[in-house]
Amino acid sequence: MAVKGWQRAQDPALLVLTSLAAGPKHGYALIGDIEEIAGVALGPGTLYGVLARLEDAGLVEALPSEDRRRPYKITGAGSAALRERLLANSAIASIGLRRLGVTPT
Amino acid sequence: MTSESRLITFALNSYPSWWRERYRDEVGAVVDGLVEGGRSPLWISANLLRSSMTTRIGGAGAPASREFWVRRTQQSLLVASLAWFTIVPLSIVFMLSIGENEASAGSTLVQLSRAGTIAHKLQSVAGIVILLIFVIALRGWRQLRSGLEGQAIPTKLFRVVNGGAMVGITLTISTLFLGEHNATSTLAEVCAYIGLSLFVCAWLLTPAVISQMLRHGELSVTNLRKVVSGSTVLVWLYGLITLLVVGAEVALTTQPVPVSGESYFTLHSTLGDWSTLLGIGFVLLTIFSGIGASVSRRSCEQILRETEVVAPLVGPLKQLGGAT
Repeated sequence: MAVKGWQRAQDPALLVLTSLAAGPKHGYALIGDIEEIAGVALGPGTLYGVLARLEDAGLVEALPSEDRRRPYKITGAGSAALRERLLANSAIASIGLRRLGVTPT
Repeated sequence: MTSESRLITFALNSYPSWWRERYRDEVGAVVDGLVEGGRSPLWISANLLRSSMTTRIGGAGAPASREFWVRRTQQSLLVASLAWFTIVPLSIVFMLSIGENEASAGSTLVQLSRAGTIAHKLQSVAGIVILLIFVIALRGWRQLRSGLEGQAIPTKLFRVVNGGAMVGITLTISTLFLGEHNATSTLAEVCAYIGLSLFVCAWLLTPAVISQMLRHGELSVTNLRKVVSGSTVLVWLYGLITLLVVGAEVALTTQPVPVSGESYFTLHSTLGDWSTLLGIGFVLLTIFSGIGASVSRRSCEQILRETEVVAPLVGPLKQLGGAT
């Protein structure tokens, strides 16, 4: 039985940080990359809400703008926070898979 | 300009000014790209509108200046307190609208049904809550005035409103004595109308007075904390009174229908179908003031965080200044 909508419950902040871990990107490129890696279509309002919060927390940093587009890069604190969160997620993922009897390939 | 692009522009303009200054151009570029890529403008607009609402409430990306957060706390306090001016008259309407139906003659009076008893009790508790709300609001008003004392606040409007309310109350009360004699009944009626009109005008103008006071003055962090706590308590009480009003209205409708020829005793609301609107009004006002109180609490926390960061630095800096 499929539980409707639970697959969408992914944290946009985690997706943005993961995308920026590959290098600086501006808003439109971030939306495209996140759609490609996670299959999640972030709206511009959601994306900039997340970017503003991450910027306030010092996890991402805005670079000088190119015309109307401004690239963002992940900071040292952002990389550390992302690493910590992914390790925690992977620990939960491996426990869940083991309990389900699935061997990660 | 098409209606879709107008909708997107409207959604972008719905963000607060500080957000627009910082992100408007960037988001505009992203939106252009998404529209060119075939994304629905309606979906984009809905996403922007929802996000502008959360940005206004959460304040993400707002400037870090203390003045900004103090102003924001005061403005949201105003939003939270405005509900009071509607909730109190609505509660009085609710209290006055419930009455007892006459029992039919000819047989012994039957007890009030269980649903009727519940409605009656809920109405009584609502009365107590209203009194409590009144006392807390008056205390908050004194807190606000003392917190803003000594600041350059325009007092003209304040004096007019205060004077109007005082004269209104005095005139209305004095008609109670005048009205007892036939010779003075017309004069009493005129006085009562003038008094009530003055009181209602003062009541309607009070939010403008509070708004002016907050715009021209600044509350200290301690006073802000107290007023924020007071407004949070008020919102909980609004929620409670909303539950009581809705509960009483539901109980009224579930009273057993009396059988013809039998003696009965029921409660009824003179509002009829309007009571549903009254309930909706209470719910909306509680949500509205709840958002205001929640924003003011968050903003106040932000000021306190900044104060905690700055305070340890201020002491040693002052000492250094004194030493040199």
